Amino acid sequence: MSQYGFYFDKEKCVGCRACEVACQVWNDAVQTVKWRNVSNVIRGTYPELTGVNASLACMHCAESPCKKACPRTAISKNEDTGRVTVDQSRCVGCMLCLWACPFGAPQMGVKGRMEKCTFCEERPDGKIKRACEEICPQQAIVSGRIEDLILRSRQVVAERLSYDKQAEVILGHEEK
Amino acid sequence: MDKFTYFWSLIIVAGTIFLIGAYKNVFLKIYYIVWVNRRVQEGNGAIERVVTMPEISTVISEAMLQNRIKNRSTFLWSRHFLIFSGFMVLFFFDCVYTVFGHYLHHYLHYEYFVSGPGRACLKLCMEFSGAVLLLGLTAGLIHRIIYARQERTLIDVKLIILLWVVTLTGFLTEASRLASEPNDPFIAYSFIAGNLAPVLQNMHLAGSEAATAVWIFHATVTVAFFAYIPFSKFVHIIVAPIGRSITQNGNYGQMKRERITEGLL
Amino acid sequence: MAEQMTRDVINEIRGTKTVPGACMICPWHCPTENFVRNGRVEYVRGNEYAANKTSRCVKGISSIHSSRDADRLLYPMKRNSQGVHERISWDDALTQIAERLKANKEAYGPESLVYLWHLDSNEMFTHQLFGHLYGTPNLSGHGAACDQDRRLAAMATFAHPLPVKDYANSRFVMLWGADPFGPNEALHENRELLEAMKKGCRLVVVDPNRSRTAEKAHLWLPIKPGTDGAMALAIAHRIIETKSYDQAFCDEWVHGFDEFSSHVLSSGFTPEWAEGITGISRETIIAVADEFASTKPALMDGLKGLVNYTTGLDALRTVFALNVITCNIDGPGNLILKELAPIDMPVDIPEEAVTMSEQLPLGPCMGYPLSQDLPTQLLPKAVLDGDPYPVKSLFFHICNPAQSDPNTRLFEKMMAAVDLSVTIDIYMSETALLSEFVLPEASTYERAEVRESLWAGPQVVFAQPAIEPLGESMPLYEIVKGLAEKMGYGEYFQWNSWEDWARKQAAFLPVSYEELKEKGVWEGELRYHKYITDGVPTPTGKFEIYSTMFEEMDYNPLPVFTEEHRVKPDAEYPFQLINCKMQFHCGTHTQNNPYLMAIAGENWVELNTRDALRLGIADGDWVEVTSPQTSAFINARVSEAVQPGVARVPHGHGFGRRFGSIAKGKGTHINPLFETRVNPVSGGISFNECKVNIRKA
Repeated sequence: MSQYGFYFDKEKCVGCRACEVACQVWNDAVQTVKWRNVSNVIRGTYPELTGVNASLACMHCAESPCKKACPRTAISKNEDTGRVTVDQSRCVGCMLCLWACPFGAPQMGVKGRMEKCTFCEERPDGKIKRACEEICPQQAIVSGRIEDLILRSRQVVAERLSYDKQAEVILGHEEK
Repeated sequence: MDKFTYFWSLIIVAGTIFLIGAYKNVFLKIYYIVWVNRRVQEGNGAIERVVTMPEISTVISEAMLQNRIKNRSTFLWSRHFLIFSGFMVLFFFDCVYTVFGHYLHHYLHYEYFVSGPGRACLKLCMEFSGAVLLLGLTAGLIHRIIYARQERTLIDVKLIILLWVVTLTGFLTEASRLASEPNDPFIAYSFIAGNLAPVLQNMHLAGSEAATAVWIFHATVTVAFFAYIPFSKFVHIIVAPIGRSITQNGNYGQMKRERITEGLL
Repeated sequence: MAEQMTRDVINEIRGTKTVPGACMICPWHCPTENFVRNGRVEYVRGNEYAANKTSRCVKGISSIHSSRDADRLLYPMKRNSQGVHERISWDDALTQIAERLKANKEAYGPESLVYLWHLDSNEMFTHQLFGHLYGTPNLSGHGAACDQDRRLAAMATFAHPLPVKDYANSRFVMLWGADPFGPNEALHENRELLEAMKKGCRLVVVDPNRSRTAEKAHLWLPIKPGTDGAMALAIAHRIIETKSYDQAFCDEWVHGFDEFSSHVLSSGFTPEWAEGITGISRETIIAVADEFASTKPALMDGLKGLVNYTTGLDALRTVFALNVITCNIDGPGNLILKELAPIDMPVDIPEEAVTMSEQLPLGPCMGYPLSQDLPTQLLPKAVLDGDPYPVKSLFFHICNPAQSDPNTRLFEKMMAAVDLSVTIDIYMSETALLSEFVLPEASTYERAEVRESLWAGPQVVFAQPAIEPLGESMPLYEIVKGLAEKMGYGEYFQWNSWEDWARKQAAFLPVSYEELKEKGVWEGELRYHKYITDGVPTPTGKFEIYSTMFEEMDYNPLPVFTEEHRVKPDAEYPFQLINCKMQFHCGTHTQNNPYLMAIAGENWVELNTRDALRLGIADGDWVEVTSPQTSAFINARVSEAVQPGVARVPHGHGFGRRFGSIAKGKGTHINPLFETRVNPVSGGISFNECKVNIRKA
């Protein structure tokens, strides 16, 4: 069993939102229901400012809160890939999953059912990139098996020549 | 056995099933969600609580008026609103009737809802709300069977048929009672069942045994429906108002994402 | 076994076919891949074989909409006597246009035709028709509204109009008034810069406002608007004073070093002087100068934040000079003088058929001999007054000066007066609305093109039609072919299919036509230090920091800093209006896109929290912005990212379009606020020379 997930590099993200639209185009979605969302946060007073951009979609968490929260057990986690998906025929749109999710990933679809990132379920895992991943000009999003992503993260941090600052965060994963 | 004994035994069994279901599928879930949100907030060191009590306007908009459905389709919204309002009002008056119109007067000298004007009011309101409910369900049933092929699954049609039968048999119960008690002083207020009663008489379904049989059938399907709520799509009756009120409060998803983003600063 | 390309995996999943393309949203024209099934473009992304790999900016991925947009121009139109556009046939349109062009040429000479483009897709065809055969010298891009100053500064210094960057190998990058991460257009460059930063490359950004690029910078210098030239000269002062320039390189490859250094040292361009003007401390200026000079390889560049002020030209000349004197030019990690691929012209025009006008282009005739692109603000004078010579025919190709130029009223007056106006576009732009003839071009999804793209080495994109043209729209090459036929030049534009001329254009490339067609892109070798083998094409054969080109035209051959033409805030108009690009839009042609409009549907004016508080303006309020020209109502946003005293407005919005169901009525058109301030040498429009007053509406 391989848990697949996303690795996001905040230092590379410029907040352009190409990932949002790539996801919508690939999944033939409606523009008001975005499975992937980019947030920008800026803090401080001019000119002492800090800011960051984050591109967030479903993290396909190991201990998915959405799955545990669903009163209809409409959300399931695939044994082989770790992919968390919503069964539209069981969902009633009560939005408890959104209440539970720390990332605000599940979205209300136009049919009154909840929907969210499916980790590009048609694309073979480990063989080609996810839509958001392949479109990002800065390659800020990387998908893969969690073990590989952790290794990558450690390697990138080790390569840094300037002061040590935790640059990459692996979300949705509990380090044992 | 007496029909009320049967009824209350049914209530105890179904009630237990309902409570087990509500505990497993609703209470535990909500408890978990509150726990997860608190844990994430504390773990993140965020200053503001994202999960706050929703504003009254949100609760009214989401839980009472279901504006979200209206944005999607006025037809679907009005159909659902008929069902929702009919059901809520009918259930409320059912409870009032049971307590004030059936049991209380055994203990207190309070006849208002038994033989006073209160009863007329109850009868009228229950018929009206029942009619609203039935209208909504009928529209839903027809729409589902004929038009909405892609929305229809076996479960959906079964459920709506169940509720439709519950409502219809309610009218039939009252109608058959009135058919066997044509001198009921409040018959005028049962404007639907009262007019249905002569039809039943013509079909030779009058008589107290027929009335009792229909009563028992209606009681059974109604109680079964309630027991089934937490295990079916009907669970949305309980969880959707809560879930939607909380998550539609302001820019909820965006606020959560911003909180995560802020943690990356 | 060959590794399967990911485009094939996608084709397997979705049952599509990959057709290589070129993006048409911004001038970078990134190589792309279009996935087509049953005559519909299902998915788009970047070209896996290209420098940008499969990546695409947000505007590019969203542009899939234009392959299906019902609001597109679908048939040719002509404006009738009531001013309403009516449909006409291609045959009628082209016949009438050809007749009018002929008449105007006979009466007024071929120079009476001015042809403007912005996105130059298939422009070689119009060059050959209008430039070589018809004979007008007035064929121009719209650089006057974009990067005119930079082009001229680069031509003067390097004899190359468009230096690009090799961030991948840089150790120090300084960007002046440039925000590459904002519009995110140079995709491979942006990726490389971030990767270089991971490996220790330092990024310094000079910008009054905290742009997306400033957010990533190690050092952000919040300079006072329009004063960058002073700081650049102060850095030059420091480098020359401490002799931290590359003496050997200056001796061998730089013309005018002695004049430049004595000019800088004797004119008082010290860090102290610059501190007073720019608001950046003397110590910081010195530290940056020292770091730049001692870190190699390095590069400095500037763009809109400089050219939008009248001080921009000289600021850029100084910035480029700084690169030169520290031997940071055309090497790894430097500004690269991009080499072009050997793309042939699509058709051959024999020598004897070529005609040339005796007149010079308008720019030089109207006082701008060094202007790189036609300063479009000069057009009204030529049209309305016939000065320096009559202009009777105007062509616009995917170019919308009615929306993007300042002084909109004057432009409208000109369009009403001109004899013949033709707009070729895919949408009914504001300029099209004012034009007599409107010709629908097929979008990038429906046409072929062999063109150079903007990677640092030679890069050819071979875009192919993915779907049939919508409605009656035609690719530009077919429009040119039809028009040429009517104009009597049909014999030169003969082909049965686009592959005929495409093959010709690709003939000199060291790759087979089949392979180029299959991959959609070819990239040659990125050669460094080309000046060593190829020389420098300046008059002196060296990089010029003392410009002989300027000297010849009686301009100052050395850069200075003067605020002579600046428009600065005063008591009545206390804000500097800074025009910026919205991250999610490009120009005036993305506003009918549902994906982009869902992200940002309207523009706004952004104020610093302190200014807003003082004026009683809250985030989301409507405000009135008044310049000496006119006023506009716009939504306000309050943020700390903007410098106090500055009002920042993204351009490109505010339409009353007839065709544009999504764009219509959204946003505020801010261009009427600007008066036409230009750089007196380059003729480039300095949009930020604008002072405004703001009050709550």
